[in-house]
Parts: sequence; C-alpha cells; structure tokens
Amino acid sequence: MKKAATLLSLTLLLVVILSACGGNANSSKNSDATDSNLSDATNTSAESGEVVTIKTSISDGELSKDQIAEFEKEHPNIKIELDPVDATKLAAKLATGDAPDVIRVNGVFDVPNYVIKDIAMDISSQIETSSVINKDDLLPIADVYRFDGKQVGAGPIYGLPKDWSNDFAIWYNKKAFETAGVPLPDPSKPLTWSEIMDLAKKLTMKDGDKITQYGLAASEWGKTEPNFNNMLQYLLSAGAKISASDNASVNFDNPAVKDYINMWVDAVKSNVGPNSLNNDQTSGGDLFTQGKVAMLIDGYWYGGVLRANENTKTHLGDFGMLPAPTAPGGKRVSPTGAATGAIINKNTKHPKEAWTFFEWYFGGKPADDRAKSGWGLPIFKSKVSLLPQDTDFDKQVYQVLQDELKYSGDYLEVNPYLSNSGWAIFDKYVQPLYFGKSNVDEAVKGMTKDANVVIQEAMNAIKK
Amino acid sequence: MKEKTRRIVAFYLMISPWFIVFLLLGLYPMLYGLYLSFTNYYGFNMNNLKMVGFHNYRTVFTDSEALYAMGRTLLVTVINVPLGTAIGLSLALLLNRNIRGGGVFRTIFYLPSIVPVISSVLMWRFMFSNDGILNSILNLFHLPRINWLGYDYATVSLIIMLLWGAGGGILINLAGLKGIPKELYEAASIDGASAFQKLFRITLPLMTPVIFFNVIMGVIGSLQIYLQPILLTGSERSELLTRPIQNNYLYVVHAFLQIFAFQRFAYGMALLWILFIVILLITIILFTTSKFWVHYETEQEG
Amino acid sequence: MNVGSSKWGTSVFYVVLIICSLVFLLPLYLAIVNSLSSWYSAPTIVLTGFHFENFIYATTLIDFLKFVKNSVIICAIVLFTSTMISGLVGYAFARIKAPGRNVLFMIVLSTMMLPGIVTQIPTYILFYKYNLINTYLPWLFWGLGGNAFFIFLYRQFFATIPKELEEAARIDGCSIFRTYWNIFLPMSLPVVATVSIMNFQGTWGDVMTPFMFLKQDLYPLATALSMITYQEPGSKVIIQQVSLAAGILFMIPVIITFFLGQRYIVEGIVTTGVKG
Repeated sequence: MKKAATLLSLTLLLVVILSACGGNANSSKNSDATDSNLSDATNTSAESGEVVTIKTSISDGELSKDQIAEFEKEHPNIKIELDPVDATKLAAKLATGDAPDVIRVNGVFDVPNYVIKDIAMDISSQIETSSVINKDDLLPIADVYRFDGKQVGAGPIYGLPKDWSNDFAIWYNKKAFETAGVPLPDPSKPLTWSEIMDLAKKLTMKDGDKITQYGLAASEWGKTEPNFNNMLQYLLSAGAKISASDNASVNFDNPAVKDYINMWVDAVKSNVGPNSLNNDQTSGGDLFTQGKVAMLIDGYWYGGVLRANENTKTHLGDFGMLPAPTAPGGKRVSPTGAATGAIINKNTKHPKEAWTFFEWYFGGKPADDRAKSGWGLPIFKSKVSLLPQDTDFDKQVYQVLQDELKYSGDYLEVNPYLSNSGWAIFDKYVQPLYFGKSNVDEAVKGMTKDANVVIQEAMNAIKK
Repeated sequence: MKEKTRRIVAFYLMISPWFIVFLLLGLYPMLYGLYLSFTNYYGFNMNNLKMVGFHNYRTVFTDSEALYAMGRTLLVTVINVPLGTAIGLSLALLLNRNIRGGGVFRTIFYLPSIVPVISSVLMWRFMFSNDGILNSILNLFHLPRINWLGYDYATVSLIIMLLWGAGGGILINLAGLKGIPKELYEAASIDGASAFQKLFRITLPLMTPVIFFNVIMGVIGSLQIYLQPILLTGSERSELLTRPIQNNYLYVVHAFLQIFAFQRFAYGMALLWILFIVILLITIILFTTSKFWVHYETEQEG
Repeated sequence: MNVGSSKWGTSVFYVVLIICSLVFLLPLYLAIVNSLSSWYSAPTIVLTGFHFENFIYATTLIDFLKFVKNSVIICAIVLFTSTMISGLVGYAFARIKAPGRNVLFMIVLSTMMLPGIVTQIPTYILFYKYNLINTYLPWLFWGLGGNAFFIFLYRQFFATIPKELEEAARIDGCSIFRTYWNIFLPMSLPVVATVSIMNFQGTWGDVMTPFMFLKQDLYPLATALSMITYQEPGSKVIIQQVSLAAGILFMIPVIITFFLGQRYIVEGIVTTGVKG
C-alpha cells in the first residue's frame, strides 16, 4: 500500500502543477501589464559609469564586428549586442518587454505600421539638437521615416534609413541593345512604363521557339511579373490613390490599377522575361549578369552587384542606369521601395544610450563607409559626393542619379494598416490572370475585399 | 501489493519524466496559444487583448480560402503518405542485405533528408523548369513540354518532390527489418516458401508496426507541409510572405500568410487549432483501425 | 529475398541502384560544384574551378568554430537524455497496461500535431519569466522529457517483442524496470541506434528553436548559417560559393553519423536468438 500512497501523492502533485499552470494562463495578462509599467518606471538613463547593453536587430552584414568594437571603444559605457528577430520573435519580445532597443525596419512599409502600433519612439527633438546629424543636410528621402498618423513624409521623425536606392530605375546592357539593333534610350529623361514594355518586346530575341535574349527582368531575384511595390510607384506617378484619406479602407477598383495590371499581364504573355508561363527558373539577376536580358528594374545599389560579379566586373562600360519610368502621362517620380533603417523602441530602458548608438550608426563613420562602398545611397546631401565616381560606369550612374535625386521626395502610398500585406494579396489575384483563369475586374474586386478585411482587423486590434 | 497495481505504478513512474516536462513546458504554452486564438492578438497588443469569443473560429468556416486549402492539403496527404510509405519500405527491402557498397547506397538514398529543404527545392525548381531534366526526358520521347510549375502540374511536381524525400524513412524501416527473427525465414525456406510468400507471410505482417508508425507520422507531417510549396512556386522575396501558385496553396501556408504577411496572429492560431483537431481525429481513426491490421505482441486497444 | 540471384539480375539491380543514386546525389553534387567556383560567379552545373579556399573562408568569415561548439553542447545535452528517456516512456506505453494509457498516448502524439508557431510566443513568455532565455537549460528539460516522435517509434518496436520473453522474466522475478533494462533494451539496439542517429540529425539541423530562444552568440551552427550571411563588409550580396561550402561542412557530421550508424544497424550486431 505504500506504493499506492506514493502514486496518490504524485497524482496530487501533478494536479497542483496543472492548476497552477491554468492559473498562470489567466493571470498572465495582468503580470504582463505590470511588467511594462515597471519598465516605464525604470525608463531612466543609467548612471554614468554603469555599462549599458543596447540590443539591436540590425544584421551582422550591416554592422560589422569591427564597427561595433570601434563604437564600444569610443563609448565605454555602452555595449552593443546583435539581437536578430523575425516576426514571431519580435512579437514575443514585445510581449515580455525585452525587444531590441534599436529595431531594424523597412522604412517604406514598416514605419507607419510601427507608429500606429505605438512601438516607434519620436526622435524629432533628438535630431533637432544632434551635433552629428544635421537636420538641414538630410535629403528629402529621409522623411520616409516621418508619419503624421495619416501620411508619410510629414509629422514627427521616427527613425532614419541607413541607405536607400531609387528602386524603380532601369539598368541596361548595351550589348543586348546592339544585338537587337535597338538604340539606347536617352538617360536624361524617363520613359513611360508602356514605352519600357514596348522596348522589352523589341529586345526579346528568339531563335525558332527558343528565347535567346529577354527584354526585361522585373527584379534581381524573381520573375518578370508585376508586383505590389512596383504598382505603388506606378500609382504614385499616375497620381492615383487607393486608400481612403483616413486609411480605414482601400479600393483597388481604380483605372490606374487596371491599366497597370493589364500592361503587365500582356508583358507576361509576351514573354519579355522569365515568368510562370514560360517556366524559366533562372532569376532576373543571373540572366542580367550573364548578358541574357537587356533591362533590369532595380535601384542604385545594384551597381554594387555589377562591380562585384565575376561576369560583369570586367566590362562595366556595357552597363548603365536609366531613370525610373513614369505612368503614361504621369509625373516623374523616383521613390525608394524600401529604405531599410531603424527606429528606436519606444519602451527602451535606455533611451539616451540607444540614441547615442543610433546617432553614430546613421550619421557617424558607418554612414560614410556605406556611402563610399557604393552599395546604396546616403541620406545626407553632403555625403552624396562620397559615392564612387572613378570609372566611366560610376560616372554614368552618378550623372543619372543627380537627376533622380530631385524626384525622390515623393513617397509610395502605404496604408499603415495594410503594411506588408499588399504583396501577398496582389499575387493571389494577379497570378490567375497569366493563366487566363480570371479577369482584371474580378481581380481588383478580390484585392479590395481581402485588403479591407486585413485593415479592419488591424484597426480593431489597435483601437484602445 | 498486487501484481496489477505494481504494474500500474510502474507505468506512471516510467512515463513521469515525459509527463512532468509536458505539464511544465508543454501544456502552458498550448493553453496560452489556445487562449490567444480567442482574442484579437495582432502581434504587439499582448497588454491590450480583447476576447472575441468564437469569432476567429467562425471566420475559418466562412473563409473560402481556408476550406480550399484544407481540401488541397488532404489531397496531397492522401497521395503522399501511402506512396511515400511504400517507397520508403521498398528502398529498405532493396538495401537490407550485405551487398557491395550497400552502406554507400543506403547513405545516398538517405541524403534528401539531410540536405536542407531550401537547397533541395532550389534544385527541383531547375529540374522542373522549361529546359529542365524532366522536359528533356519528355523531349526524348517526342512528347510536348510541360509547364511543371504552372497551374495544371504544380501539385504533381510538389508530390514528386515530396516522394523524392521518402528515402528518409529508410533508417526506421531497416531497423524494423532487422527486428524480424532470421529463424522465421529459415523455417519458411525449409517449408519451401518462395521469396514472394516470405515477403507477404513474414516480412510485411511483422513490419506492420513500423508501417503504421510511418503512416501516422506521414499524416501528421503531410498535413503540416508549408515550406516546400512556398519555395517551389512562390517568388523568392521572403519565404513566409510569398504565395505559392493556387493549386499548391496548402492549409498551413494559408495560416502562415495570415500571421506573417497580415499579422493576423489570433486568426492564424485559430486556423492551426482547427488543423490540430483535424489531425487528431484522423489519427484516432487510424488508431482504431490498427487492431485489424497491425501486428502487436501485446494488446494495444486503439 | 534473393532478387539478384542470377548474374543478370545482379547487374539490373545495380543499374537501377546507380540511376536512383544519381537523382539523390544531385543536390549534393550541385552544392559541391558551386562551392568550388569563384566568388560571385553564376550558378553552374559543371565544375568550373577548384577554389578550395572557399572552405577556409567558410570557417573564418564567421565564428564557425564557436557555432560548432554550441551545436556540440546542445547535441550532447539532448542526445543522451532524449534517446534514453524516450525509450523508457515508449516501453511503458508498449508493454504495460494502465488506466488512461491510451489517452496519455494520444496526448504524446498530439504534441506533434500543432505547428510550433502557436506555442512559440507563449513558450518565450514562459521562459522569459523563469530566466531560461539565452541558456541551454530548455534543451536539458526537453531532453529529460523525451521526444514524442521517438517515444512513438520505441513503442512500435517494443510492441513486437514476443510476450513469452516478458513472462519468462516475470517468472524469474525480474522487476518491470529490470525487464526493460536487461531484456528489451539490449534486444532493441538497432532501434536505439536509429533513434540516436535521427535525434542527432534533428538537433544538429534545428534552425528555428535556437533562433527563438537564444542570442546570436549562443546559436548552434544550423541557426548561424541560416541567419548570418557570408558577405564582404558593406556588401549586400551573399557569397553563395562560401555559403555552400559552409553548408557542406555542416552536413558532413550528419552524413558520417548516418554512414556508421546504418552499417551498425544492418550489418553489425547479431541479435539474440529469439524464437518467434
């Protein structure tokens, strides 16, 4: 019977543990709330002398060990810790209050979303008084990190891009144009997207059934198919808005949206690049560096790829950049499609030290290093001249860039509630069009419906 | 103390390590996850959650995409699991002997389960591409090319790719074959049984517990597939944000898109809890069938 | 079972085997060929060079050895505990009748039926409260609790062992635990080997769990290779060739373990003469 008693007590123990767990699940909400209150209370800077650790999700490719060592040497009271996150880990860390102090974000799509979620700290006054970051020296592009609750580009400053690119520009391969007997367009003024598509068709060469040269690749990684970002640039140029002024709804049933989709579906069916129909799985970038596609849609940073790639670095003179195209009859715009950078976590326990790091990373020596490398554009007027200008290739790109800079002060229209969702919704309804399984009217209706569900749920979650 | 009680105590003592860790580290997160699926959790509002009752669950049943994706997932599972189990067992039968280079072959056949999914899918994309190996073979027989990753064949391609990984079951099957007493085969040989008879009278019946294991794990795994379809036909932008072609739009892909692309954490969790129930039901059904065809030495009622 | 008894049969058998092998070898072949190419060259299907230095860069451009050490620590913690405890639990589910056994076993299986994302955030919150984030302790606990997949696997194998054996042991006065330890476990060494190999492979290759609960310094190799990219300072493109070289180095221990383990399972030990 002794063993039966042991069993009984074991069972009792388990029941106790079980109920304790259940209790935890119910009370966790409260304890989380107190946690965050506590962190508010301790939201004071550390005493001088005490070493503070600043965690950041900026990736190790963007912040090298040497740079960290340099910073820590200059600031012995601050230690930098790389703390990479994905959506789940960030969500978990926001719940426990140990999210990174400096959070890496995609400027265009994340910032408005993070602001309405109350995660981003307003750093306007820090920038105003900074001795490292001169506010008047900032290019208009930096304002993509400003958001007034409705629109990007105005209101408080929530962060800065580490670099950016005119992501909708066109890169060309002179040789491919010569092969097709097509003259190079004038780089001093932009073509329209429909002119680009016509050009792409002319540049696509066939030998019997086999395509020997494509006209256009839509990105360095994917297929030559339309995408949501690219459409936003088209809409910006066409002056078309799809979100309601309070961002509470979105409507894709818009002539400019349909024009854009029709134009691209035609391009896919004409096989101007690798796509789902011709099932060529080579990426746009690989095709471009191997001289098998004449034009590629990509920003300034792609020059870095051309300078590094084994196939292209020996004959850089064959390549060059054209300005970002416009919608037919639209205005010239050359916005950024990403502008990766960072915000400061509003609930950081060390706002002062986080800012010190932020200021150094975005305005100090790392900013100069980035500009000189030519892998992206600086956010300061004064640093533009640091970009590579040695070779003829560098010079051509730099020349075109001077014009592009004048048109980079317009921002893609991003609905803060929709945030990153647009891409998947767009793909869902456009893909069937290539295969003739749907039509454009159905597509825009479907997009509108899906997007509004997402917006509605986001708004419900954000409402206090 | 009676023998029976002694055995019951032993049972609970022996499973207690698992049970205690489950209670401490497993149950709480599960209950918490269940609770979140009844709220408006959105990835950042943990301190400001609102209960929404069964709203998320009701939404699942009005979400035509979710129902469609569930259908596709069941289809893929129904094809993938039996074929995968059969291939895994056949490979093991083929290689369960002392042949020259047997170890090397066994290792090679196991490779697909060692190579990271990302690189093997990348390889398959090129095999399935217009100028890929599969179309070259069709060409050889003067058959028209197929768009393997287009609407009509994408699911076939997905299943081919999944079956290619079936060699992963080889190890378990080999261990199973090893457990069959040699004396049974010797006795059968003396009785003049053919190889065929030995396979169906001895090998297969005695392998049923292992086959049963592979079927159950195959079902649990297949219903949760998400990475392969995304990598196979999605664009490469960011794995969890892209959408595979419609025919390969599986259930967990749908749930992950809700969470990662749309930040509908609570809804995504509700979707996954429903999947949980579906998998649980199928597993229970399979377990009740097991007493008719799985050979155990002890009674395993359901 | 003698399919290849004739010479003809044997040749056909080997031809089929070799053709299948080529299909299975393809990803590894492509990885090797590309890992030997020069930096930033286009993906290739034929050998274009012998840049063995890529393998050196793979171990020097990132803290490769540190991550290997972390992997070894995690595997050491999990491998022994989980392999042994799963066996014990699996044995109980296979051989001992007790009230609630079936329900409990369904609970074991059910832990594999819920995609990890549902429990990841709550688990993080739980670990955070008990200061388990950025420690290897969770792996110790998970190891001590056994693994559902292996518990099920053991159960299936233990359930096939003839009950006469158990009865004989009982008559000899063996306790249940001794029956397991002295009779069932030694008879099931192929299964123990299988579980050990798969356990090692699963732990060695797990990317997401360590990512979720550990900081970068503590990453095992699998997580490090997925999250940390091989790049030149400031550059925005991955050096694919070095990345692949690292991937090959990463797979070598698993391939070796499998090669040795399968030989042990198929050709090695002679099982005790059990009459059916």
